Amino acid sequence: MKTLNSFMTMLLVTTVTFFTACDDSNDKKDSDSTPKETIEKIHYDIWVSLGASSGMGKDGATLVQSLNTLEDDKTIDFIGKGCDVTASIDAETIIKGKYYYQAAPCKKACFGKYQIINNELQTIQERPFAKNTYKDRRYCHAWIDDNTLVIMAANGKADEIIWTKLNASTMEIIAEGDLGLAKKTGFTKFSTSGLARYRKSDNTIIYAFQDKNNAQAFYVAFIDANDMSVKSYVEENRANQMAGTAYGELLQHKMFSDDNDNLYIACNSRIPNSEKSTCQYGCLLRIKNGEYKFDKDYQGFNDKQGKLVTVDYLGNNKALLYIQDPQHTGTGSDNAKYQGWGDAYNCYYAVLDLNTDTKKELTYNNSKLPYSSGTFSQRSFILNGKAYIGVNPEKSAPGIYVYDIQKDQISKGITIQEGYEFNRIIYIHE
Amino acid sequence: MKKLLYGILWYFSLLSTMEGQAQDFVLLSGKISDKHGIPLPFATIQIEKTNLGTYADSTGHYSFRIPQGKYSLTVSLIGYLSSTQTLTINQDCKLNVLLEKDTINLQEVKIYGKGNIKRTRESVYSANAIDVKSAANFTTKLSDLVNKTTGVRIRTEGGLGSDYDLSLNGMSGNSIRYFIDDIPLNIKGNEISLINLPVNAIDRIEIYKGVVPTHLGADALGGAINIITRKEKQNFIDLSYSIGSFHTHIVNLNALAILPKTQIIFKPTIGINYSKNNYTMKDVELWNEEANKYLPTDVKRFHDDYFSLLTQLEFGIENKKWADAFYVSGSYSKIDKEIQTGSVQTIVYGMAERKQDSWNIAARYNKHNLFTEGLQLNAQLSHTWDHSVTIDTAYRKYQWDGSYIESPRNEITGRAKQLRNYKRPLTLTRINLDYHLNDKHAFNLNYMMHRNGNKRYDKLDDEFMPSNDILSKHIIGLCYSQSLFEKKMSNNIFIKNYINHVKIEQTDLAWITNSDQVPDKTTENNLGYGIGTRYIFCAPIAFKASYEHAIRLPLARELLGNGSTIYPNIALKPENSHNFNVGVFGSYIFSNHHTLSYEAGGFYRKVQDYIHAVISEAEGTIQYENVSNVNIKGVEGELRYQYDNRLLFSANCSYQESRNMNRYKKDGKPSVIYKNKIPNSPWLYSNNEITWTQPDFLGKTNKLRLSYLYQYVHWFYLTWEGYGSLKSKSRIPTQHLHTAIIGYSLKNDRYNISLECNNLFDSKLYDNFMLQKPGRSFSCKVRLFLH
Repeated sequence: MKTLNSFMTMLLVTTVTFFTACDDSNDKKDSDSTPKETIEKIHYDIWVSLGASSGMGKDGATLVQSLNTLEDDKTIDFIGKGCDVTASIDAETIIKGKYYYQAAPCKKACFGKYQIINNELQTIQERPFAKNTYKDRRYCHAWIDDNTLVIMAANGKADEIIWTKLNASTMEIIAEGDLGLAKKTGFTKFSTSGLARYRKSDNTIIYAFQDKNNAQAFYVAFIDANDMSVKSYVEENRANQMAGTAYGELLQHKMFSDDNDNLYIACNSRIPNSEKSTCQYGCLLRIKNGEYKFDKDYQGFNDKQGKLVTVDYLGNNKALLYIQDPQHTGTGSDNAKYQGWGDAYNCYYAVLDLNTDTKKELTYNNSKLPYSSGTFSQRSFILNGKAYIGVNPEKSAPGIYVYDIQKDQISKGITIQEGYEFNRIIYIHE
Repeated sequence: MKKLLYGILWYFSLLSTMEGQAQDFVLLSGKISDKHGIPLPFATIQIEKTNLGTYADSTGHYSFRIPQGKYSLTVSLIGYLSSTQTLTINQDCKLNVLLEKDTINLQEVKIYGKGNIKRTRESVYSANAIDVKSAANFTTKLSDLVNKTTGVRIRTEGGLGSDYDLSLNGMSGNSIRYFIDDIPLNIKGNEISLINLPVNAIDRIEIYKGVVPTHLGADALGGAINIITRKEKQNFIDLSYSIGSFHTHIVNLNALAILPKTQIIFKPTIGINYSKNNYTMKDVELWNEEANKYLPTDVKRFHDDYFSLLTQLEFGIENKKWADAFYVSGSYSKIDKEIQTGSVQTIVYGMAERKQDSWNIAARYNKHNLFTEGLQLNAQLSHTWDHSVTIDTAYRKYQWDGSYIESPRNEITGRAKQLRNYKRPLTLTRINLDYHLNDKHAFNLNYMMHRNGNKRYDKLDDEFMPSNDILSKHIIGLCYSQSLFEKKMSNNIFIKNYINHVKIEQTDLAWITNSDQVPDKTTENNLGYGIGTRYIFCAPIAFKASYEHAIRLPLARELLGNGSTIYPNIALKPENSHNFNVGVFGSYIFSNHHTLSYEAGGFYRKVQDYIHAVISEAEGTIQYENVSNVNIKGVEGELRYQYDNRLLFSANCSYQESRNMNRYKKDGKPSVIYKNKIPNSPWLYSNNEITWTQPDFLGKTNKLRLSYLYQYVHWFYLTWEGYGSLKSKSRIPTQHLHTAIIGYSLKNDRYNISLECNNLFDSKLYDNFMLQKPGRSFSCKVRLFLH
């Protein structure tokens, strides 16, 4: 039980940013949250692992295979195919445009920019740390523009938050420092990475973090993206924590912005009187565009049933949720009891209407999409009006479903041969 | 299983009956001692013009059956004049033999050494024996000798003192158990190993593959390495000093003194190893500001100093009424080790260190004919205080040129400063009863109690949760041995019982350590058993086969981690294996000058809940896991040719194949790597040696020795070989290691000097992925052996 609790605590990761990879710099918003845009000349990277689950301190081999489409009715495998990145980069990575970005790849003391071409990983540019150093996989990030990347994390003692601003083309360090949050808040122990998102309208980075000595609430700081000074911070106690505290959004999507650039943050809280701290329920909290506080009038996904694992914005005030819920999926009878949590097939996909807070479970051929296992994965993204949804079912091979958002229709895409750990799908610019 | 057991027992009794009916032999027995009555263990007793003979046991006693008749019997032993007697034997008789010291003819060293080695090789087990004593003139590390043995592969992470992993017939290092004189080696301290034990103190090393004798009391899955110390019975002093590249200095002292009046024996031993290990790392990535990228650069290691000290004083008496031998010993070991890299060389450290201090007190007692004739007792009691500290207090990030930046986190874990302390007291008791019913039938009962504490605390990291875990195990083994048909046939059958008790307090990092998956106290009982047989048709052809259902309980380090690079895994289960060995061996002497000997064998291991080190490149750390089911099969062989003790040529080759036999993944779904080769494991390697010894070179008692050694290790993949494009897969490249040695001895090995060039062609060598080993190095060893 404690294992799962800790596991879930570490799972809090989001990577909407890499979907933002848009060449059109005039676009109003960060492109991750712009599902309406049409992006062409792309391919898809499927990440799987062998031998052991990836991440969380354990590993086997990590393979990446590039595909031109996910919508074929075919089965893929990795026999002699794909790029073996086990010794080079992690699945927890920043992705934008054509490139993968990482801090401390293989613990090497540098920032790196990489590309996978023809089943080979190519190093585009690396740049050593200058002052601030980061631990591999344990940081969050925000794109200020297509060429400016900010990386943030707690320092080793976790008593301050450090940041580094990078030129993404050259990987040169533009500036670095710390937020001075310890002095401002009086906190002595911060969450490992927290979550960060850039808001263009007022040039502000919204940074969600925790005081590790307070398990009942979390905080959001509003940071001037120019000089990285903290303008203000607020406490939010309607949830125990944001859904990602250790790995930022390097793997999993934990936040999204709607059409009006309102920021939604996935949050989770422990079920009262539950057997273990991993028994949780989720909710969505909102910070309106231009505001420096939470919208106290809004709390989404409010039926206190199921833990939020990943969230994506579908457009038209609808969100795609990946929810872990033993009671709903039948692996447990009571979510306050630990039985049914863990690695069981206890996760499902649903669409949430942000206006009405009504939830609709996704179906295919009049049947619910199969329930999945795996809570440290990101098997969905939104592109060109479609949601690509990966499942890892108990009774059949992992596969991808394609949800046409406008038509509200689901079709079956590719299947991954049984036997691989299906970790993530992404799209990459050509 | 019961039917099989009954069947085996029936077979054994049938063999005994057949043998009893077939022969009309008489029993010859006695004791070999010196003129003072001191027993001389391991003396060779040979019936001339026959292949009949035996060895005296550890108390100097011998017995064997021979047909009635008239014989010439020769008894020989190192340092003593051989004795030949003619006698006619018509009935059972006793013959005690006194040997006189021979202070001149040291050539007998070879007879002594070979006797024990031959005995090990000709046992029912799949075993090798290495004559360390004969190699002491030119060897500085025991691990170098072991690494040349068939079926053995040692993977080192760097230079002197670096961590290493030994595999034996495909089993990983920690499946192999290490012993010194039949008791676990870690009584000397957890960091004492083949790389820092003083060579001069060692007589030989026995390597048991797959099937381990009960007297070792081991829960070894893949085999055992038993280091036998020297057992001379005369005053001597053996001192050596070695100086080598990378500021390497090695000093060994081993001596024995018998107080004339009291006959109390003192045995001091000192071993000191020091090296800066500042060898050149070739083509490591170093940031070049002008080029604006990392460039391959040759740099010297700058934070890899290693110092080890082992001191021991043993004293006691022998040949009293109440004891054949009673010794008390105390030892102290100290290790200071700087840590240069993580699990790959892109991770560079400049301040992190590991230190260890260990104290040990021990007593051993030996008595033959205890209560009844033929019953021998060996008992040992030992307690060790072991304290290790991992120091990770520098907020720095280093590059390979030694430069660094101030960092907001420590080096190894990337967290706050840590001063991680581990106290692992070890209490060990061993009782071995050996009963020789007669020269055909013998029984051995062995009990070993092993209790290991693991107290952890951190003086700086206030987040670290102190704990005090206890790991204790009791291993009981019973073996029945049979020797038939004039000792041409030997059979062993044995059973072992393993009891493991674990008490765990640590609960931190539960998602990694699985500490929440097991109760805080558990006791497990496991049963193992085995059988072995050997038949010598004639000197050139002999056959052996053995089998063991082996159990290995997790080591404290596997279960509880090392505080820095190894994470605990509290949920580790004991691993078990069905181990099969078959082999043929023999030797052929022609023209009285040429000896050709060979060994060839095959092995099969069916391992379940296999404990395997899982390396995380991203983490730079290791964690042991039950990889579940693995099948290993392989073949190996060795060929030796010797001409008149002058020319020696030997070549061995090992091939092995380990396959994952987990049909399903943890989530219950089929696994694509079912039956795939286990990655990151060497599978084809070979050792070759040619040595020329020129006796009487520049003096009648002097000799010159020239040796050339070549080691080959075939490349292998880091990850599962069938998946992912081949061009993207990381490989550990092929190794070609050439070593040349020249040695010169004066006055019958009294004064010795040797020069060695290791890695002659300065090749870039890797045992592990991205962990470069030393390039070309030179060393010179001077040894003084006074007796």
